[in-house]
Amino acid sequence: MLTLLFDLLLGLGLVVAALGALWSRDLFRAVVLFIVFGLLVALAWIRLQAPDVALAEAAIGAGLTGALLLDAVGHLRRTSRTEDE
Amino acid sequence: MSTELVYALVGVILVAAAFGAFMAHTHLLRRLLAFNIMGTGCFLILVGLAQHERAPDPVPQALVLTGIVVAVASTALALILFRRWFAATGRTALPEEDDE
Amino acid sequence: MNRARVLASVALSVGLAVMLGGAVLTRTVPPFDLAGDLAEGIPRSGVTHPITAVLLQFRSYDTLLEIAVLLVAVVVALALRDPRPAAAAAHDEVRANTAITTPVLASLTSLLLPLMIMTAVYLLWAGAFQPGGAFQAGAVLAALGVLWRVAGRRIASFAANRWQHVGLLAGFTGFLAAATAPLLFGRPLLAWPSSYAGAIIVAIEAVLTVSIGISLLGLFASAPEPGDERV
Repeated sequence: MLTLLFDLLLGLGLVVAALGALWSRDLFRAVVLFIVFGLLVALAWIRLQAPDVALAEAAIGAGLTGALLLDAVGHLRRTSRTEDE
Repeated sequence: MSTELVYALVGVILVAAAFGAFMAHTHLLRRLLAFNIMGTGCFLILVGLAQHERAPDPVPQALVLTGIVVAVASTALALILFRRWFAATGRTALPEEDDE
Repeated sequence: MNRARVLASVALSVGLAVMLGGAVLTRTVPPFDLAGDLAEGIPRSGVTHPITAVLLQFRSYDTLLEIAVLLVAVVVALALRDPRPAAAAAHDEVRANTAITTPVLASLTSLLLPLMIMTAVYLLWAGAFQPGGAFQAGAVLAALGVLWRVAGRRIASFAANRWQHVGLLAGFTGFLAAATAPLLFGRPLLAWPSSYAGAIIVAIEAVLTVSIGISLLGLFASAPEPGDERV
């Protein structure tokens, strides 16, 4: 019963993080919420008895994809800032 | 309602919400985020449904592992293409729907 | 974004949720039991961890194609780089400008190098009997490379460095060679004899780890910078 409550809360957290990543006005915040989403999904994989997938999701899904997206958002900001000047 | 079914339904919500966001946004980076979240939702449905009321099943887990690597490869490539597009045209959306 | 577009998206989204949710809730239990069949097959596979057995023995063809996809992505990423030598210098300058150069990070990157390599090797070796394997180990190596790049060090520029290119290709070509070797002995593709299977799998995973690490790092490092050649 308690574990089901934990799963429901984690599921709710996943949905909230995903909605934030999808609909945030600021792109940087959206990417940060996407990384948070990735880490919560890694927790979900643990709950689903899939530790290998959890490792890969945390490292590749959240970590590397997050780094790539942050790099891209930073590049967008840098480029539009120099164009404004 | 078992643990696995909860996550399968969460996956359903993620796929539907991300699909809606993909349709609504024109900014390519936002579409890429939506695409990634849709993929993760599909993985959750795959494993959640396979393990609902059954033993933990390594086959869908291995497929999801493969899927995660393919998703990061395509995301990285999409980002490189997006950055070249942005450098060439200064726009963040494709031309036929550049109303943002 | 206009109203009609948002409304249409919401409607489609809700429709998809209802359809998928209905399908998930009304699914019929499939008549086969993959986990049971897998447990029976593990002794012949050469490894004891079921995920590794699935990835590199029972569905090894999928893994081979996955490495091919990763390789194609990296090759396209490298092909889209600006070929002019001035662009490489500009990239170095951008990297120097955006590097984080605190003393903590500088010493941390030196300390973490042996630790992360050891962790990657351990994950690789442990994948045979507990969670771990080539992908996780490759991700740790890629993370090390990303850390070094963020700290400003020059790595994975793929300039004229032969070893980086060899590392990229070693995974796929090694796996392909191991996959086609049984054909020479009259066995089907990827059908290794049970007595050698464990050793072959660990060897393939070793080259895969190096390749995956360099590929993921290369994907991160090949990002275009402002000033690159316009298409």
